[in-house]
Amino acid sequence: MNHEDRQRKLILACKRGDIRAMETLYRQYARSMFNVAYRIVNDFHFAEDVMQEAFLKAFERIGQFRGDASFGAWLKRITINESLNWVKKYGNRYSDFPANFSEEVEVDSAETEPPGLEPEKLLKAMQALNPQYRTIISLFYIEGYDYREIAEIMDISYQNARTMMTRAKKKLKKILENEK
Amino acid sequence: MKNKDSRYDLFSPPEGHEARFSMKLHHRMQSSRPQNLWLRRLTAMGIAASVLLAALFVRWNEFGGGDGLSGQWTQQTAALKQSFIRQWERIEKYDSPESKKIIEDNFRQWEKLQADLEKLQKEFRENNNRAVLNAMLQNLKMQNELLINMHDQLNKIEKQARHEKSVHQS
Repeated sequence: MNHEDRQRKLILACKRGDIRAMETLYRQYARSMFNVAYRIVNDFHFAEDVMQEAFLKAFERIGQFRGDASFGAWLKRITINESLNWVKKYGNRYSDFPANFSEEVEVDSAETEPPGLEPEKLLKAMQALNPQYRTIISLFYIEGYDYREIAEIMDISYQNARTMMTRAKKKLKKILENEK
Repeated sequence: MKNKDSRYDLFSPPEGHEARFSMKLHHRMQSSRPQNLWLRRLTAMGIAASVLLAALFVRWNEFGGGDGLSGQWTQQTAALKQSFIRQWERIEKYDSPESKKIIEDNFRQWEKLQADLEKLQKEFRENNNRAVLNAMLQNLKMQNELLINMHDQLNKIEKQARHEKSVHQS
């Protein structure tokens, strides 16, 4: 039985309420989803809570999973939503930034690769960003979402997503320069 | 969406995360089972309060109150949260008529502590003050002790009931 067949079987078992199957899927994806949550929440302890709540929600809604995307991609979206909810509730930083960005900032051409850095260095620099900038950098460079998807995830317009990304990149560049 | 680069997954979840998840999963899956709603409410509020307090500590540290205590605070609130979860698991099995009175008595004490905690939360919102944060932490510790004591009392009466039953049968 190949990986896809095993996944399908596990997901079917989860749909029947099989706790062992849920635990198996948790073990498979916990590390990856923990890192997704940690990059947004920026707190080791809370990232575990957020990640686990995302799994619980995923298993509650597993009946809605149709297999259009991979289970990992579906789960990741739930984890990101859960992380953003945590930041909105406890990070309380969204209010520091305007919901609508003015047009004055020139939008960069889309670079889809991280700025040629070791992952450790990029992640460390990201920690110094505010939650919005940290989130958009993570979604774009690491998770691989495009601006349309980011706009939907962060509940902002397409233009705002691009403008925010430009600002986030400038801020990241400044942090990296200061660290040299 | 392009494929994610796993080179960025540098960290492992904290030790013991699988066991903690397993416990949460079992609780969530069994939520339809009849349980003592008061205890569920009590422990759930304790867990939520620990999480909230930890978030307040983090914010306090970030917004200029940082005095090197953040690590201690985080550890204490994390330990409290785990303790609330543990008490939840230990206490909720008691639902006999004998245990009901003990639970009700403790619940009244807990309500007082909870009212104090709500006042402290309000006070902290109005004027950020480290002393208030410490008072909130003390309050949560008292709530936790209340649960531990309640478990001890429940355990004692259950043992007593078992003993009386065995004497009666013999």
